[in-house]
Amino acid sequence: MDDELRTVVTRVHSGEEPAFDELYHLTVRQLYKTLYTYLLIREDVEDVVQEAYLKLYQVRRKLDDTRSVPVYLRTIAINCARRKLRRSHPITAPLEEDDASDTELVKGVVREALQQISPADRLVMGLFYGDQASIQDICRMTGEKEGTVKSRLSRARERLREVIDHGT
Amino acid sequence: MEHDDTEYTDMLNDELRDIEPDAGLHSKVRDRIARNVLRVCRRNTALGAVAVAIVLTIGLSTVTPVFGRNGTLPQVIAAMAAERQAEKMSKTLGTGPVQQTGTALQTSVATVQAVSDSALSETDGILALVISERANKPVADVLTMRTDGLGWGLIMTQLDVSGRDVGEAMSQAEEVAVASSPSAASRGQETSSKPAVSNSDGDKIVVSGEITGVSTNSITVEGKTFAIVVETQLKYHGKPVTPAKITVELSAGKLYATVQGTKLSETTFRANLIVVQDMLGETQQEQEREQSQEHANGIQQQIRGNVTFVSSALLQISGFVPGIVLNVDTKVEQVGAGKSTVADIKVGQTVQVHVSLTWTTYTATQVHIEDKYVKLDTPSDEKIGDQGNQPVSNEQQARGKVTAVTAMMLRIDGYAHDVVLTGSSKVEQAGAGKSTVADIKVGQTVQVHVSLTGTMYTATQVHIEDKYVKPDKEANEQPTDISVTTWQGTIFGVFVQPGVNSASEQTIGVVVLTASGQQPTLYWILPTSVVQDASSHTLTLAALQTLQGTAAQKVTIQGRLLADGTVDVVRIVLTTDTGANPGNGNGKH
Repeated sequence: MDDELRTVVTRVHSGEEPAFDELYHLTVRQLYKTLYTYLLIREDVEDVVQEAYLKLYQVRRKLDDTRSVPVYLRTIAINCARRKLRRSHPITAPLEEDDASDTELVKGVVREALQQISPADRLVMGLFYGDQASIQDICRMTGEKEGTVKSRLSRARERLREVIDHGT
Repeated sequence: MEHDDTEYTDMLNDELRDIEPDAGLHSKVRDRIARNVLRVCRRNTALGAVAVAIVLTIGLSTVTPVFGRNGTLPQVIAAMAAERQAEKMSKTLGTGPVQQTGTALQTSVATVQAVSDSALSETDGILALVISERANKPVADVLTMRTDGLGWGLIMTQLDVSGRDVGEAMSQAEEVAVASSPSAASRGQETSSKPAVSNSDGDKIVVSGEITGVSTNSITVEGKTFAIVVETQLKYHGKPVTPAKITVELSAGKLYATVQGTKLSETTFRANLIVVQDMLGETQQEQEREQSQEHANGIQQQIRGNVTFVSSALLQISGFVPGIVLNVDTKVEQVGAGKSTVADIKVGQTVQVHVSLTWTTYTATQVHIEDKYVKLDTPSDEKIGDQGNQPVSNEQQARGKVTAVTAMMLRIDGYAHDVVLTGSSKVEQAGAGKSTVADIKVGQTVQVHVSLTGTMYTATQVHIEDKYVKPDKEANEQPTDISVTTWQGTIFGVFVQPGVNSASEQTIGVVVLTASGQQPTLYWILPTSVVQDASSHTLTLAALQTLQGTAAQKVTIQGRLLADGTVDVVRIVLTTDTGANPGNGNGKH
């Protein structure tokens, strides 16, 4: 994956237009999930994804450090998402699942728990557990200090545990 | 239930398992990128077009006279640079830069005079001299081109003079001129002379410079001799002065004067106003330099202040040292009146003056009188004729507070002369209309039309601005008790004295009443007083008079006690009671 990404970034940097599409396909899935953890609304996530890739496209010829491209892309996307959150109404994601399946019951509980965590804490949790990003990378992407990131992670974990264990 | 990091990861991944981007999202991203590329392309195209247009315009302006008579862009730039150098030189030299520039360039007096007499500004004059010298052309040719409206850049091109030529000539001229400037001389030898400036406008002429001769009937300022006539106003330190006094002062050192006169012929001039000044001090020089800088920045100025002196040809404003010439082209307007005339400008008014500076002569192009127009009765034409056909310039107006007034003389604060009041002096007062000299009081604010004959200032019209206040009779009465009081006593005497004034109003008679053991008291019988006998029948004053001296004739009087102890009678009734009991009023009688 890393080698493939490095190759693609190199081709993008050299001006190869189809390479940008390949870069998109390599990175969009994880970015989408991370943004969903943060925003919880698909339409908002799609808007942010479009904006993030547009910005990435505008600086594509300056992408030289292949290793930092995913971090850079998330940083752009997080900033776009923050603007989106400031402009939009409070998140009220619908709870769709009423099925009897245990798995789906658990999913419903997790989703409810995510809604009760603040967006900023949720974002850190998504990056840490979803993206498997390091604390240092999360600090770079969110612009927050390490202590703040760890506090957010701890708080999100605690809240998730409370909701799952006690349903409140 | 125990949770660890793996469990959280799994939990979150399970939750997000179904969260995948739609297949169409890639198309949306691509569309958005394409739209953006198109927008950027259009913007760049528009910017490019603007840039190309600018470049083409600049390119075109370098070869085509797109600035009309100012020429091409390089010529306009060259002209601006040259004018900036000329302005700098003008500021450096202070007064009379054209003369000094001419001297420095070793041009003839006639050349300098030609520039001085032209209608060009000082900056233009300097440039004309410099370009003429560099092009080796008569200055008249340069002046003609300039007055035809050509820009300096175009003139320089046509005469093959470059900006560098002008710069070099300007530097040389400036060095020489500064070295030989009056201020430099005054610092070294104290023999400075203020350069003469002559400016004429039709038959009016204004000359400033050193006084080189003065007699009882003439004064010579920088070679121009003006006749001093009876109408000539001669001022020194703001006060009238005689030619003899100037002669004495002149013997003690140099004097300077600004003469505003009338050109009688090409060689004879009559002085209307002569303002004599001492040798310029450093402060004055600084002031003039500042004024020169102001004028160098723009020929048109605006000045605001109070009128300290005004005649038909000259205006002086507080805070602005030079006199301002008024001429037929000067537009005058006043708040509340609109279009006005120079005659409407009065001492004390606040005015805004648009001034055109030509050399050192300030000419008013427009005067705006901020004081609201007050309608005055203007003297009839016959009246003006009666006053001896005085020239208009001898009609002055003064405004201020009355500091002293007699039947013959009026003294106004801020006006140096006592004004003679005659039987012909018209007086009017706001709120009263036609008034008399007796209505002029100390402390009032008055506007006076003054006619100057010789050294006598005679008031033709006095307008009292303080509004007329009708005297309040009641206030003068100052009664101690305005209520009706009753007295009783014995008649001591009755006198019929029509016209005698009590403290309040005219009486028709007086009753003197005595009460036992008290001083006689005066009771004023008024036209409104009721006089009755004991039967309440009306008595005439004559009938009452027959009773005077009648022993023990008592009366009861109702009246109003005045401040002086006398009484205005309301009702007087004869009583049969012969007792000398006092009245029930205040118990005084």
